[in-house]
Amino acid sequence: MKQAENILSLIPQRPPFVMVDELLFCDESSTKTSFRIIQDNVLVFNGKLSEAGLMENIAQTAAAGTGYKANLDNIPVTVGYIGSVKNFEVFELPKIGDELVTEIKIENRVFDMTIISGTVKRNDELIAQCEMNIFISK
Amino acid sequence: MFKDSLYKITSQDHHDGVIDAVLEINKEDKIFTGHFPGHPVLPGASMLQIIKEVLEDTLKASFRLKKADQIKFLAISDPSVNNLLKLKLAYSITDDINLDVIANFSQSDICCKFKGSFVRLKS
Repeated sequence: MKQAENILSLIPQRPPFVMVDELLFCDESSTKTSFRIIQDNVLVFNGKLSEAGLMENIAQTAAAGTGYKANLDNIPVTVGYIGSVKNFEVFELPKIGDELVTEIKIENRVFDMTIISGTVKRNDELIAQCEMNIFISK
Repeated sequence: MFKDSLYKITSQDHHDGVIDAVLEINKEDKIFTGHFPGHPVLPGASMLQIIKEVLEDTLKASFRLKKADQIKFLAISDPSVNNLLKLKLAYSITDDINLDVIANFSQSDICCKFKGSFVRLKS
């Protein structure tokens, strides 16, 4: 689907704070992205993507899905904020060169709040997961 | 590390498992050009990294977040409006390698609450 150069048409974040590369899949209830860890990433420390990077990667995967649907509906991509994160488990910090595949599922929508669950995998191996409430500003 | 690029610690106190720190956020840091253009907001994710760095710096050990039971972001922190952030962090050592942490960041009001556990890494 959308490559790195136009992932920026889907999310409000801009370099150097972009934590997704490519939109792999998107439908009404789920979104999947890929992300390769590079040395220059501002959330890479000591050769590894930080917990903060994993959390942001999940949030931006949700943002890419919201942006994809906004593009289809011809409405502008809006800024979203993380309202809360629950049960964020980190099993490992991925290294430079690793390719992550992140999937979010929309669990519920309540007014401007979207409740998602997200997983980050590397070659089918679970790296991190959480539930997240994302607030879309109007 | 974000320390000395995204933020500086201007004062810090540590006793009885409680760390109180005042952080000065560098509003010129490069991350604000992307989060968001023309509208700087301290990323919630960066607060998680700050908690880890303050723990590592204070306890002279390396940690990885094992699980955050809950992180709540209650207010947006715009460093161009207010670049001082207070961190209050309480930790308890549960065994050889595990650390439970409760922390909150505040400006005029609390902007982030964190509850979770870290695991100490072998150096």
